[in-house]
Amino acid sequence: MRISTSQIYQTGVTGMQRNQSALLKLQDQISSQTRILTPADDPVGASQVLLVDQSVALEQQYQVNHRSATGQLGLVDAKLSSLTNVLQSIRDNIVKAGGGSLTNTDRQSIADDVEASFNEIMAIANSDNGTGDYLFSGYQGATLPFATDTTQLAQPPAVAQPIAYHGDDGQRLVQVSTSRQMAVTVPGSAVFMNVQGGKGGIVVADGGNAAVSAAVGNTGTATANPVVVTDRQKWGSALSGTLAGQSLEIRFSAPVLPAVAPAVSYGIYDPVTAKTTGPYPYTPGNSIALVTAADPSLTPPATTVDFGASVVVSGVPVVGDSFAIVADVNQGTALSDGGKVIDSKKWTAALSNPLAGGPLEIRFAADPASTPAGVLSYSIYDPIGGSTALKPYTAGQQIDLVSKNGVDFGSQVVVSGTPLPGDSLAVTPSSTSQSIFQTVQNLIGTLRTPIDTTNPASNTVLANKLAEQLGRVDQALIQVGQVQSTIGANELELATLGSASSDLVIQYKATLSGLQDLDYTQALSDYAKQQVSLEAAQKSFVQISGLSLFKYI
Amino acid sequence: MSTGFMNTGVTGLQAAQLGLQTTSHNIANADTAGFNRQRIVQANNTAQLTGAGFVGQGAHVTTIERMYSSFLNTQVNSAQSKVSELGAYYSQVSQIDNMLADANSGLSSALKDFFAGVQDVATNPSQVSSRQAMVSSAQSLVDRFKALDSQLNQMYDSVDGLISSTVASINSYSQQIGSLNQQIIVAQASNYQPANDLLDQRDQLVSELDKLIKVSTTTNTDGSFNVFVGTGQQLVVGAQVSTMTAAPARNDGTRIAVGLKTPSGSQELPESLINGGSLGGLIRFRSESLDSTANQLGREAASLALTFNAQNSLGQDLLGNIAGDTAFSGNLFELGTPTVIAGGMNKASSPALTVAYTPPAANGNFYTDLTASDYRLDYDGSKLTLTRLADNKTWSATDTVVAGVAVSAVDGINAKLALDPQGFSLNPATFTPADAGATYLIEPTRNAAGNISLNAAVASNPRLIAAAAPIRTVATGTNTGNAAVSAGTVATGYVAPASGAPLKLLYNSSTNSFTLVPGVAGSVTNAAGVSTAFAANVLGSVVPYTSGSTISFSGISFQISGTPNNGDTFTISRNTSASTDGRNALLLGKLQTQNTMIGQTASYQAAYSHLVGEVGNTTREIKTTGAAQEALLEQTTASRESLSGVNLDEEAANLIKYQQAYQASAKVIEMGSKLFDTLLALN
Repeated sequence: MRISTSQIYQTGVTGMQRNQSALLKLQDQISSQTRILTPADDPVGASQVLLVDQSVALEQQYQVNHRSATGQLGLVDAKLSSLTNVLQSIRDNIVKAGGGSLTNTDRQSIADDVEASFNEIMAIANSDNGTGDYLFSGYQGATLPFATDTTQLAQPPAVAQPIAYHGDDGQRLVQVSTSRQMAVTVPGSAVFMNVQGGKGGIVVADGGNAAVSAAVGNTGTATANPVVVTDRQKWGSALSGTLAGQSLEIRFSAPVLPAVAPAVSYGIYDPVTAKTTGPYPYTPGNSIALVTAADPSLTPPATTVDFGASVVVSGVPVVGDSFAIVADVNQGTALSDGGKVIDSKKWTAALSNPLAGGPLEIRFAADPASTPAGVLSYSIYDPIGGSTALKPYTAGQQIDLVSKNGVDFGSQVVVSGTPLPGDSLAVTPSSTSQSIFQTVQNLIGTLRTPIDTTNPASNTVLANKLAEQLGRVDQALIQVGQVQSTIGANELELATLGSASSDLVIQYKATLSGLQDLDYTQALSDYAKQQVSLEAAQKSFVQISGLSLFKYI
Repeated sequence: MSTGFMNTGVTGLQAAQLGLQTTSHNIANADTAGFNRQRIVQANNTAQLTGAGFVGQGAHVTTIERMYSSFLNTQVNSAQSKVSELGAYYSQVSQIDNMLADANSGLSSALKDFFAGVQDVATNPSQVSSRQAMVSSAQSLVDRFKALDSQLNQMYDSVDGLISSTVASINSYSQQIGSLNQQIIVAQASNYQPANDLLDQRDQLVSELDKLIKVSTTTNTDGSFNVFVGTGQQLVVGAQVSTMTAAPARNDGTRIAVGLKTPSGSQELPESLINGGSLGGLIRFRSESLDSTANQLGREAASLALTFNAQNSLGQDLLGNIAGDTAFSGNLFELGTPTVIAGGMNKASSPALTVAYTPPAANGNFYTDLTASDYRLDYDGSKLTLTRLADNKTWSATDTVVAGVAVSAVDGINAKLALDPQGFSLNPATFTPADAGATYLIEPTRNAAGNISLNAAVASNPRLIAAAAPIRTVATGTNTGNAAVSAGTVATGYVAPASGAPLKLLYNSSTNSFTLVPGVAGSVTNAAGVSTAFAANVLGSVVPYTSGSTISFSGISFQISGTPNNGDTFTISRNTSASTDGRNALLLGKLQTQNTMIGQTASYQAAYSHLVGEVGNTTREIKTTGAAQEALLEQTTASRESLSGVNLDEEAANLIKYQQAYQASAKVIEMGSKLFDTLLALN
């Protein structure tokens, strides 16, 4: 084939350039240690690298989150451990206070001790997380979670006003893996509030003597169900307060907003302060809570009093109608043995049976149908089914708790003494909850109340009270322990997630390395080969271009 | 007699001289571009008849021919045109290729940093420093989008500039070809010898033209060339030359289009007609890679902004504001509206069409349906047709009346888009038959990466990031049952309870239902997904209870599970002072891995890596094809060179050959002279 002279030069130069560019690329790869210099070198690999890269970044972010979560959980854990220690020392003090030969002064000093513990608990409950947010306030990091509720009266036997929770049930969450958000705090409500009392047991208490009666002049068709006491403690304190013997009234008044149904409003009238709450819009069938209005004008100012009870009013009342509620303590001398659960399965099932609501009451009445009329009888009342048929009462008799709708509570109460008609005994599950603060405040109140140490009966009463409070503190310890164990479980899970995450990062990095890292052996050998090739091209070019016929003519 | 062979010697001398002349011409032009080697064609003279027969009369040169094959030349030109096209394409696309995946200039690292910022806020929602860090990383992300967009815009500008300058060069070459045509006609008409060097020059110009744009040529009988581009559009016919133009496109004034000036005016050439050469490469790069990259990047920006804003709107900021509050900023990013370019020939009366992004759909998470395509809306006097330019899928509608209600064509298109979402909808506009011929180019995502910005309110006050959820649920402390309520979620359009007036659910064991006060309507969805509606009731809605079912109303959803006791209550309230609640920020963070784009089929990063892969593939393909074309060019050039190229060794041999021929002929003359002298000496 004919070859043109310029072709010889062109081919030589092209060849050298090709070799040089290959050499340069290898050099670039070797110096940057990567196989993919631009996506065009391996488009699939390059786009995979981006995805794997994000996975690595995500896992590393999760590891940062793990550290933050571990810190938070550790803090909560430490606080809960301190709380356990404080509760433990309170428990020890209760045991000490129960010792027979203590004087009132001894108990005062124990009370001082418990008071210090109470302040410690408050400090723990209101502790912050180190960055200025309260640890136990749920979502409301800037809200002081626990503070004295100045709107409430002290609930005997406590002498201090109760502590209220201002946080919420929110749990702070941290993303610890793609699919898992871990709670790193517990809301204060789950630790300090609502500690369940007893262990699936039964509490029989003085139910009080309450009656609801429609005012004589009522013109509406409204009717009221019997009073339902939901909080025995509040009911008890309200009764022992200034209102004893008075009758509250539910009064119906002109609607709040005339345009909107219902057409009437209601308020709770307090005969002592002559104040009426509300007005609240009335809805038939709604449960009306018995809470009186505050009256700051009195000396001392009257705070709102929550009776811990409610009345369901249905039908259509007319403005001006009212219902009187006479609240009083039992008038007779009925005493229960405290009741006992015979069949705990039936008890548990009955408590959640929609046919029977709690609390149950054993109500005493004079049976008008008996012969002779007026024999002292009793019935079992529940808010859903109502009262069972009356049965004659005999002191010391064992009363089986079976509701009107035939729900067997699997438990019985032995009642002795002589009740008067209208008296009642309230039967509640012992699970009624109380805050840790209330328990400790009650304990302090109990310890501070002097007793007649010479009277064995008052010693027994004290012993019974301390026993109840010991039970509550034990319950609190169990609750704190449960919360702490979930925290511990989370910490454990974090450790596992952390190592899984590290493993994943290693895995991803291996994938990344496979995708983009340079095989040095291959690259260096290619480099050497390319070098030889370039040198050969250069040498041959010089030789070929040196050949010319003109040299010889 | 002696004069006879002296004459013969002279003819030899003249032929050898021409041979030497041609050889030195070849040697001189050994490196001239487009030069085809020449050689003399020698023939013997007509013999003289004598009694002794025909006596040879020496030689003459009939012509000087150039060693040229139009077939080989066309092959080289065509390969060269392809190589130039791929070279122009490659030099542009490799810039995008380098830019996208680069750790410093690409989007990927900014996206990662941004979501790390979001996670930080989710973990520490009460820390203003975390929020500030998230705002900063959002600002970097926005800056990165803008930087990438401005680089792409620079490429648009540089492509436009290159197109204009290339068109100018094309015009210059065609002018020269036209004038050479003229010269060749004149030169060849006077004698019938080929004007070799003029022809070489013209061939060279055609070959240069081919580097700029693929042309085809035909030869006229007078020796002039006709040059055509595209599918036969005349560029040069004999001495008559058409001018190519580079001017803003008729229906998209933002870009330069190539046209051809004809006696009847300038006519825009469709991009499909411009093939080969660097002009073809530039046009192909712009329509295939640059538009697609800008659109995909814009889609990334638009989807991020739209989905992020949608989720952010469902939150509550550190100041306690939620959607509906004047101080609340639902948008973290500002996006602007899609670009609409009205056609240059639209009547002045035609409506000024605008387009809006549709709010992201939600199915577990928010996502957009934006495509990377541009759209064209045409009105023919009665029918409005929307065409997706990527695949020419169309939606059309006319003004109609449905059940007595007039439905405009625009609404008709929107109704069709609602069923086949494209991520945008047309804003109301009225077309009358007088607007026939109106056309609009809709670019939903083209400029989104440049338009995205950070909401000024959030940027100046990071407390406005809506990290918390707007509601919280509480199981009342005095509940005796063990039922628990989940934290609750909200959906777009939710109505939060007023501050201080929570919604209450009171359990009634006799009916196994909750009484919801205030009594709004809603539904209960069980684990199997079966939904039961409950009606609104002033006295309290009755919400049937099944443990674990999802209760939804007013855009709020939550589950209650466990066993409630009669009278147990649950409240749903405003999430007042929730400084440490990061639930919405967690949902914002999850957007990173969720499928938020392209009809819920890709995450932000997946869509971006797809773009990187696509550009990488194109670059690789262009590079590989370019290498193959170069090899082809090398081969065809070798074939042409083998015929037409100058080989100096050969020319050296020719020099010797013609020198010797010259010496021989001179010897003949000398011999003649000597013979003549001999004759004279006889005297």
